[in-house]
Amino acid sequence: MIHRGCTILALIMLLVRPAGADTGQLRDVVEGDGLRVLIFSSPAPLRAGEVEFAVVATDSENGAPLESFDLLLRVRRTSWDPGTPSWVIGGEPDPGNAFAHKAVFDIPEAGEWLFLVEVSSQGRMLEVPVEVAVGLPRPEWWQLLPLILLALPLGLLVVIRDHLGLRRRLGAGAVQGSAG
Amino acid sequence: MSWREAFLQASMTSWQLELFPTLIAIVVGVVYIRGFIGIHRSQPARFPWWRAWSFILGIVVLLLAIFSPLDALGGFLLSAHMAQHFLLLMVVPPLLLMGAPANPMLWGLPATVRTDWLGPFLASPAVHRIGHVLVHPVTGWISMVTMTWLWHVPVLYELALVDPFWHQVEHGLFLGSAILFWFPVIQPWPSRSIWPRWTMIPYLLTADLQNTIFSAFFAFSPRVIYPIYEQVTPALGLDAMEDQALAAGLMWVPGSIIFVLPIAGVVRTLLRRSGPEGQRERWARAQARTSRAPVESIALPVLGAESAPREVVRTGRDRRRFDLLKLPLIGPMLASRRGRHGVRLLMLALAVLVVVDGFWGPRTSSMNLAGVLPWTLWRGIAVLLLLVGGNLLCMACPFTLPRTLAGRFLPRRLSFPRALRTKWFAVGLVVCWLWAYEVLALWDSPAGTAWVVIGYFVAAFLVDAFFRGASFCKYVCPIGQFHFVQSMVSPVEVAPRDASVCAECTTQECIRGSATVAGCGTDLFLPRKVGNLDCTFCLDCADACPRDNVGIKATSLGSGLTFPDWRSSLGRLSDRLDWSALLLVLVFGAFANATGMTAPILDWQDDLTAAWGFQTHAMAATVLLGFELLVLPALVAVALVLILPRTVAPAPVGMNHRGWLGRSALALVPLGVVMWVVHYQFHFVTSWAAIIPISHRALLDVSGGSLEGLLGTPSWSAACCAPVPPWLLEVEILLLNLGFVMSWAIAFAFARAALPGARTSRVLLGILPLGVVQFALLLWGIWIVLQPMQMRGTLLP
Repeated sequence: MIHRGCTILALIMLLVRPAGADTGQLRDVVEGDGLRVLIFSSPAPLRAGEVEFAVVATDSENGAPLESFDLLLRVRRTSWDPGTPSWVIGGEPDPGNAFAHKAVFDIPEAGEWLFLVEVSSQGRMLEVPVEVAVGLPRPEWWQLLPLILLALPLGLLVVIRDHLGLRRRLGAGAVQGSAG
Repeated sequence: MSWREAFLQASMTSWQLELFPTLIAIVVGVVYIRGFIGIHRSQPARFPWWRAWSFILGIVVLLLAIFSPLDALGGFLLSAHMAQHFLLLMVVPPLLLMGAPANPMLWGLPATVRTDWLGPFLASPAVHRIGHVLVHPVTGWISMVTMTWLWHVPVLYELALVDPFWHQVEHGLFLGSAILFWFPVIQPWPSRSIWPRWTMIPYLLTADLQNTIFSAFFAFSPRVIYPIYEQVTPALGLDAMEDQALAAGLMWVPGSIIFVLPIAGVVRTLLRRSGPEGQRERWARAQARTSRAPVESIALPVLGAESAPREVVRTGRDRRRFDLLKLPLIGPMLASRRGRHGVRLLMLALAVLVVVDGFWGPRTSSMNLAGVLPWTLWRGIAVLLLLVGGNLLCMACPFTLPRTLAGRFLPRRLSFPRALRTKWFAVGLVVCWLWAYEVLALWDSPAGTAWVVIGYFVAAFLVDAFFRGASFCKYVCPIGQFHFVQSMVSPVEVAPRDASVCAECTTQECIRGSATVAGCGTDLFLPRKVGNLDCTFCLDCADACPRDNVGIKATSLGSGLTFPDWRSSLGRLSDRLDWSALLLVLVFGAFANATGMTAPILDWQDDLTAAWGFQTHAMAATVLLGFELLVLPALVAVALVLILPRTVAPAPVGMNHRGWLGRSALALVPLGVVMWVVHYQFHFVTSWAAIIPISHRALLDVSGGSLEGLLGTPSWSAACCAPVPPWLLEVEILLLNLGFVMSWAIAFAFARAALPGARTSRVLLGILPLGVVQFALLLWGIWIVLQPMQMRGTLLP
């Protein structure tokens, strides 16, 4: 029985489809020039710091996923002016998902950002503008320490409440005892 | 538009409604009004309606002072800032105190909170002593005057101006000290004056005198006292000196009026007392004093009551207990058999949609109803409903329809096999469910989700086609077990409306059934039922009861967790290893499930998978989940069972290892519940809008694209990624803390019951091992919510 169970488990492990394909939160689905592009971002919510844009491209005619395509990400602030820097990041195949390409970018600050996602494959090319509201960086744990440790004074209140209740019970018992 | 106009427009529209203070204000207002209505009915002369209006107005003015454009303008204009201080010091406290808030607030709270939680504190002599010192006129006068002068010292004033934290501290201290100052002046009932009433005249006059000196200092100062305004005020086209004089005038004139006005009231009271009417009043009061208890005992009678020992058999009728079935609209719908079937049919229709779209819709789960309806919307709504409404989810469950169908056409004579009449089978299924979710990526597979739904219907039909009662719900359904356990902390349960009716009942239709309606399918005998365990809220008992004596009644929060003794159909919960295992798996499952979506853990799984040479995460996820779901709870359980009998010694007679384990498992449930809530609410808040383009897409698919001209194309980008509110993280941490406190309170109650009469320090040391486990789980939960969350979205074949 155990042997059979282990065999089934091993088979599941070997045959199971890729799990945990962390392509992220679906941002947009756009079609054009024979391509259908699905754009994902991660983590959620997007905060200043490292973010990942993943793209899955399919043939818009037959829906077949493209295993080989090029991904280019151009990033700049939405309130762009010639003095503001912009970045170009190349994509690479996503090890977690055979059909996705991803590009990682370190967003320097919170605000409105524009990601131009460029996908090209066999002479076809599609550029998708994605406007993203990026939040402030996640606060450090020590900045939230008063809230995190709120449990301690609250827990102490539980103990004090019990203690007061005990004193009252003992007091009432003593009164009853003397009366009796 | 000029810069000045633009600035003024921006300032005037800058309402900064912050979540926590607003929520607190709303809760305080609701509690006050709830208590006030009851007290007004019994004492209309002492609590006329103007008191309630005064209190509510006080709250509204307080919110205006801290959230209105006054706050934004205060950074640029001293006069605006002084107007804000004026409201906090001179307007809000008298308005609040004229509402005599002590009694309405107490009676507005749930009875459990009032008696079990606040009671011991308010009845404590130490608290009385502290209260007496705080409301003493000397304390009030000194505290408000000190705060007023201290916070207007330039260094501290400018610190509060540039730092929001210190600004909030300043406002809190102003409000607190002003409440203390105005307390002896207003003397809200039932407090009694410490000093004779006439002393309020010099009290107010001296306060007015210091206010005059304070204002004159600003009015006649030859220079701008706060240099920061020299920089910012001229930008508005105003002179900083003129603004300073305006601020001084604001404090001086209206401030003096407010200090002097109550003096007229005090003089009037004194004159009335010295006349014949006053003599009659004094005589009547003296008579009343000899014939009744002291004021405190009238005002706070409930505080002296110890929490009564809980009894299995309820006694008497409590009309005041909330009954969900008595609510307008919702109540009749839930009470009606057809109404409940209607809800189930609606859920069935949704399940059919999930199956159809799961098989024939897009394979990307973010674009499929099977990806979003069950895993984002249903779970998010479910955990909230379980918290506030009990097990209403099981009531609406479409999988109970096969049971109804089977009951109508099949004999269903078999009893469920005795060997399987435990929770062990369900524990195994819950583990498999969590494993499949994680390793087979059910959230990511619309077709997999559709197969699960179909499998559920088939299993429910097969089990209920042969076996009596609600065997599938009670012994098999892993979702049902999840609902049972999560609803343990819910404040409502299916219960008799009047226990005395049950005591006289000899026919017991609620469990035996009537000629037309089956009794309880999970064998719960209503008068002896405790909490929501094994209760599917199907209300068959309500339909069967000929006396209309079944309701969905309010109960003490967590009462189902602090009752380890005998329960109908379940026996002694603390002796049931299967129940303990189920509780532990669901508690640790909450943390394991949420851990699985954090970036560091997924990265770690990537590394492990690469190191082992596997193609998929399956093995790494299985190893991690196996540790979190089986090994870790087992280790914790063994450790607690070995340690607790030594620390909580001498153990009560009859207490064995199972008893310790059962109590420990019960004391961890609230932490597990809040972790599920935090996890599922995160998905719900971040992704609920995805249902809009998905429904749009499904409509277009169903119409074959013919509606595209009318509806257009789905706007994926508009629905995606709604900005996450900045308070979400704080709320998550707060919820985890509340879960910890509830868990800790339950653990402490168990230890106290085991060591009655022992010193508190001994009880504390005895239960500390369990407290350490609870604190570790709290920190685990906080670690999870502080991590970047990967939103796993798509998987193509």
